[in-house]
Amino acid sequence: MSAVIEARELGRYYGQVAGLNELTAEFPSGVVGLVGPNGAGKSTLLRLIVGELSPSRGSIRVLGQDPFANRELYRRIGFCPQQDALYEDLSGFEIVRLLLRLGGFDAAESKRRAERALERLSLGERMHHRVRTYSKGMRQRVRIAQAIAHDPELLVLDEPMTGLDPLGRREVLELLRELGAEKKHVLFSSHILYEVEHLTAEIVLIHRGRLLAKGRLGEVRALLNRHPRKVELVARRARDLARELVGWNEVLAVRLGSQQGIEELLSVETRDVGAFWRRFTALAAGASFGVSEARSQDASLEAVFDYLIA
Amino acid sequence: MKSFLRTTGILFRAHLVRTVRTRRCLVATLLCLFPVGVACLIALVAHFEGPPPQDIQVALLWNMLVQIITPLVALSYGSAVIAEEIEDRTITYLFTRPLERAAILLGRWLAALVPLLVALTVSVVTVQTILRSLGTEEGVAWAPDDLDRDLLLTTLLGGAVYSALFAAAGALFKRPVLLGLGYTFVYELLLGSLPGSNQKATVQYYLRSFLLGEDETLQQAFSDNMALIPLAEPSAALRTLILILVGALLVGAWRLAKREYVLSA
Amino acid sequence: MKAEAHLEVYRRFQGRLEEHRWRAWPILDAGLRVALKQRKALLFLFAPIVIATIVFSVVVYAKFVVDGLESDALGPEGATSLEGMAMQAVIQAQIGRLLEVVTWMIEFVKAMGFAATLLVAWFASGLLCEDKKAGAHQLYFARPITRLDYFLGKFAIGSFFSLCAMLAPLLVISTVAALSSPEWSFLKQEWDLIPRAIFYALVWTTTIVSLVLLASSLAPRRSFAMIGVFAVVLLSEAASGLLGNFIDPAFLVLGIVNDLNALCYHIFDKPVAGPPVPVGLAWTGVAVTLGLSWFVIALRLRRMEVVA
Repeated sequence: MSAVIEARELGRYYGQVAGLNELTAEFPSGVVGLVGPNGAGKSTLLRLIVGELSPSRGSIRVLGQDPFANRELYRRIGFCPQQDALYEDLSGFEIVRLLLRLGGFDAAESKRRAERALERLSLGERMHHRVRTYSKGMRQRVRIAQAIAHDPELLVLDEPMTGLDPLGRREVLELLRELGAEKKHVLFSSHILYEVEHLTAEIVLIHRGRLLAKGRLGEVRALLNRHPRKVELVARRARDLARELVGWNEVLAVRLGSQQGIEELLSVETRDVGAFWRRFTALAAGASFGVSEARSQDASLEAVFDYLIA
Repeated sequence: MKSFLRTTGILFRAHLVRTVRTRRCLVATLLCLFPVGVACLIALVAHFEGPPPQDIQVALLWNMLVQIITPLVALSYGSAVIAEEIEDRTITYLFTRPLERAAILLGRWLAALVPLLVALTVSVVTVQTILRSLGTEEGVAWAPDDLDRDLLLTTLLGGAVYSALFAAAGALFKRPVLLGLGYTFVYELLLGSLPGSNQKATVQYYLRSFLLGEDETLQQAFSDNMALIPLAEPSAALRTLILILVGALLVGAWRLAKREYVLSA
Repeated sequence: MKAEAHLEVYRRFQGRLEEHRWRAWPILDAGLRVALKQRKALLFLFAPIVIATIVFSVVVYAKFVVDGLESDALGPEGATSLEGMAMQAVIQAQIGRLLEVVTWMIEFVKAMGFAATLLVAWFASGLLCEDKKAGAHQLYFARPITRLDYFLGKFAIGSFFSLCAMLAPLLVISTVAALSSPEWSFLKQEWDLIPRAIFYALVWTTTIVSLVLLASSLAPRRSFAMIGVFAVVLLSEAASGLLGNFIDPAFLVLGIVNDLNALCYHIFDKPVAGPPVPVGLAWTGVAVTLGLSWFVIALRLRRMEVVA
């Protein structure tokens, strides 16, 4: 199956500054998270994808087409920009309806779709109030609503969680999950790594305009050989357990940590976390070390992110 | 073509309502009505035996309205056509919709043109009515009727041409207001006052030609100390003005279609 | 940390604001740093001023030195009546040149007033409206500065450019005139030109900067403020000219530039060239302009602070 978005040696320069540099990547279907620190080039990449910018070098294909000023493609793409910019003197409903009309829908259909999109984002009655009276979160909801109102095939969102309270973020995450389940392609960028992680396993990490990693999170983590996996164990007989683990081939290092009541924390570094867990499960079932917790500390997106940009 | 016109119509309607509700529209309307205020003051304070001097009409409607107010108001409306969308960063939404970019320029320009032309019309007609009511003897026409009509048409034409030029400037350049001010008050005034064919490179020359044509008496009345070269025929002047208007919109639309806008976050 | 909960929506500030002198200075400093980064605008707007200053300096120098050489006809000691007459003619010629140069310099200062207006319109028209647009006024007024400090800081930014345009060229030309005039006659006889020019520049600057800040306080963005400035200056001139010519010359006072020109001739104590606006009316016109501008600016600044 061909990728939804294909970038080949993609570069975009702003004068002397490289926003993106020789980025080659294919974005699969489904929900994909685009992650990177500030200034990594996420917004630049998203703008290239939606055809707002043209590449300085290389190429980008979206749904098989060149996106720059491609009118027909815009029927299939919805874009939620990062900047907090709306028509202040219009209501949320009027904005979404206007943009639907410009998208080719007739008046009645535009009205229906605008109401549905705004209600889906919990704007309710406030949708008819002027945008200048909205809070930051409400403005964000309008921006997302205008992106989804025309049921696009590909949804591109630049920091969609910005300005939302925890309830709002949960609603948006739920929305994105639903859209993914509806077989839509969703590409979103975010700084909130644990939320990206909970929403999707497919990630693209960029840093300083270059691709750092892409793929399923677990697979990316496994590729990072120079960073052994860290496992934390909490046990009553931590020292005995440590003595046992030190002799294992998979284990590189064992550290005793802080006391937690009658239990003690043990940090283990292993080169093969899969083999470690298999062996440890058998050990924990058999012997009476009093293990109460076992967790993998650095399989998270945040840990992967930190390793990659370090 | 059908979708182009449809899109233009949608943008025209939406932005006409928005434009009329802005403070810019209020201020522009007040500016256009400034000559009315001056005419009222003249009517209150001055006493004329017979018709008022034609110089008053020239000063109010030509010098003040056509040469100063019309370009300024056209600049405030015209430059905002594209520049406002860029400054407000809402152009992203329009650029990611399946529409011809030229429709953005045309729809928004038409939405700016309507209040501009309405304000100018009200101003010209009101001033002319007030001046006609001053010290006229019955049966004596103060100024030829077709001059009144021609002044109105010239003003409206000037408004349309200037607003199209500045709308194109908004699509082409980053600082259209500065360019517009420089064009109107430095380039046109400067070149307009230097003798020679350079005057033909100004909109004012063609507006003057359209209004005054071959009437030498009127040309004397409207000379306002500028070294004039022979004027063009009114029909030729009209064609040139329409060409400038259409040309400006085409150039602006072409540039808008090709251009990307780097918006800061 | 002891837990606290406050159910009231607003708590009045009960502290004391510390007195700090020159609170406007950081605003001026920051504003100038930002403005001076606009190199292209600086080049474009100052280039004509610099060129005019150089050209005018050369003309002044030529007037004193080159013209002076032509009439240098002093004879030997023991002057005869003919030589006495020649001496007198030389002195008269020198006085004439000096007066001519002084008249030119006054006209030059007036012309620089227009250049100053362009500079102020460019650099100062966004000072208030862009702060409001960006929400920066909330940052300013969260500091212990008063609205007056804020206004003075912004006013000083505009004044800097205006005074640079009006005074710096004059000082250069005055130096050339002083050095090239025979026996320092420029300094001895026309020394008061410089303080008068400074005073006139201050009057012009105060008026124009106030008008520009007025436009900036009313307009939603800088471009409209610039249009507003042009509209006010040009339309007031046009209206005052029309009414002054057809109704009563007293209406000329409605033109801001007319008023400032009348004050120019009054300050320099020279005969009026141009529309005759009585000095008293001119001062009144300027005072009304300033009063109105400051009143409206104060109202707008008050709104900026209270309504976010």
